[in-house]
Amino acid sequence: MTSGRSHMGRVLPLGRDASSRYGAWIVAATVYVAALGLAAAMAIASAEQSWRGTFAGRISVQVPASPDGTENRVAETVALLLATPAIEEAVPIDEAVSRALLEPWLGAGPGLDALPLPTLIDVRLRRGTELDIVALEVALDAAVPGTRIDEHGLWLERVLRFTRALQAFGAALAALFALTAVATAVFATRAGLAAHGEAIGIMRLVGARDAGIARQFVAHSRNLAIKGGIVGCALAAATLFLLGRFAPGGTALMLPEMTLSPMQWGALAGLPLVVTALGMASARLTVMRALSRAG
Amino acid sequence: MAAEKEIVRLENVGLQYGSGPEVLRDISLSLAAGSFHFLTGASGAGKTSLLRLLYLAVRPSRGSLHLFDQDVSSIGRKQKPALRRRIGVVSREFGLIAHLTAAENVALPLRVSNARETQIRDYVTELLRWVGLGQDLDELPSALSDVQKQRVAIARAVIGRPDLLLADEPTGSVDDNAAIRLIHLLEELHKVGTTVLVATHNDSLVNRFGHPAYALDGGEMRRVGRVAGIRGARRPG
Ligand SMILES: Nc1ncnc2c1ncn2[C@@H]1O[C@H](COP(=O)(O)OP(=O)(O)O)[C@@H](O)[C@H]1O
Ligand SMILES: [Mg+2]
Repeated sequence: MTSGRSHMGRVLPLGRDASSRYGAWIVAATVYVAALGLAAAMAIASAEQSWRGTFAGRISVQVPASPDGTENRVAETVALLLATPAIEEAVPIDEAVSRALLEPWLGAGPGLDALPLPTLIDVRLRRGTELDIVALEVALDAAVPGTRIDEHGLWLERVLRFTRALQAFGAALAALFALTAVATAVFATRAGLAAHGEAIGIMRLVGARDAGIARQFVAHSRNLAIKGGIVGCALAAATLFLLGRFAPGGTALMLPEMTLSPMQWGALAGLPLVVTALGMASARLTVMRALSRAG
Repeated sequence: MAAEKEIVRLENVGLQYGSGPEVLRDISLSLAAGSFHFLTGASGAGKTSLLRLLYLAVRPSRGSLHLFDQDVSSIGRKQKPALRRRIGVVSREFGLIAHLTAAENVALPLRVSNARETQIRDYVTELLRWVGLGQDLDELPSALSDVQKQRVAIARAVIGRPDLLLADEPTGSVDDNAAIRLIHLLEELHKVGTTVLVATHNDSLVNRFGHPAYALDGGEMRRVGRVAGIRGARRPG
């Protein structure tokens, strides 16, 4: 403040109040939980996107192993699949790939090699067409007995229903805790009004405007929210980073990566700003209402 | 020309606290710009209540109150601070903020009107020197004597160059010599054009100075004039 503007902030020592000492920590804790809720909601949204990309429009077909030549049965099945108008592509998965996929579950070694494995055919559906799954399954079974269809789409719908519930929960958590941060600002402001009633009376006596008095509380609320918001957000970022490090990576569990895009990180960083803005607005409203009620 | 302007005009003003009895009844009074008046009366007569009306801490429950030619009943909440900045108040309880130094307390009226910090510093130092506290700028009120607190309160009341200075029992908690010096200080302000109203129950002090007095008795204005006259009226013989 080299401009020589006045230091009204010093008149009410709000920063020294007990409520402000705990206030910053309460804000930090609420922003922390809100940030995690928001991050979870956003990560689930990303995951949903990538699941859709991976599984939507795809099915896989299992052809059981058979002692009298699996290859012919696979070729026959592929031919049948490609003859179906709704199917764009049908690619058998190499046996080595299947074994590699199973290795983590069954262990490597001669045991696995000896095991007769069904062959998987990865089927991509044609966009904009409707596949009659039941009819296809009947036809496949008639041609190559024991053939089964794995319909990811169905599974995906169920998973999505669950993830949407999780997402709503995360968002609700974020909103609830952001509101808690606002309530903290209101309580700290009320406590400050009560603690400094006499000084406020003197300020009014010498001609302070309501807005000028409110500005002190707004500045105080801003300091609390910024301090608490930064701490809460930093802790949340650290938590997310650690969770990311320990998350099982990759395809074995078919979990898409639960990571946040730069834009989503931006939204997280915006959370303390939102909490700060809400805190300042509610502090101002609280003071203006209290002063006008005091007459 | 300034002397003809009315700073304060009350007409048939009544004041009630809540639904209690009227503590002021049918008060009419007028203070010309640049005048110096005492307001006398026993404890409980209504002096403090009348001053509180004038610095807008309470509203009249009837009658009309004009300040600086403005009808107070017609001004909104937002215009009050501007009026209050034209009024300096010194109360018996000093009204100093405990955690602020003498200088910061004196600076308050300038701070709330967003004066420049450099100007504030100059004025505060000058005024605290004027009241004889040039050495105590950074003391907290708790470290000051009552006389010193009183002087800080006066410095604060006048730093905004008010048109009207209201003093409620300013001599109430100091000895006679200090009281006389205090009134001299207020007279200096009066000389530079400030309108002054001093409420006190100390008649001997009033008699010492040749200023006109309003006298309150049980919430009513008894007479305007020298205190000697009032005394005579109250206790004939
Ligand atoms: N805030 C208040 N509420 C109710 N009654 C009050 C209040 N302040 C003063 N009074 C009453 O008003 C009357 C005048 O008091 P006051 O104005 O303080 O007189 P003075 O200053 O002359 O001693 C007294 O009867 C007092 O009890
Ligand atoms: Mg009194």
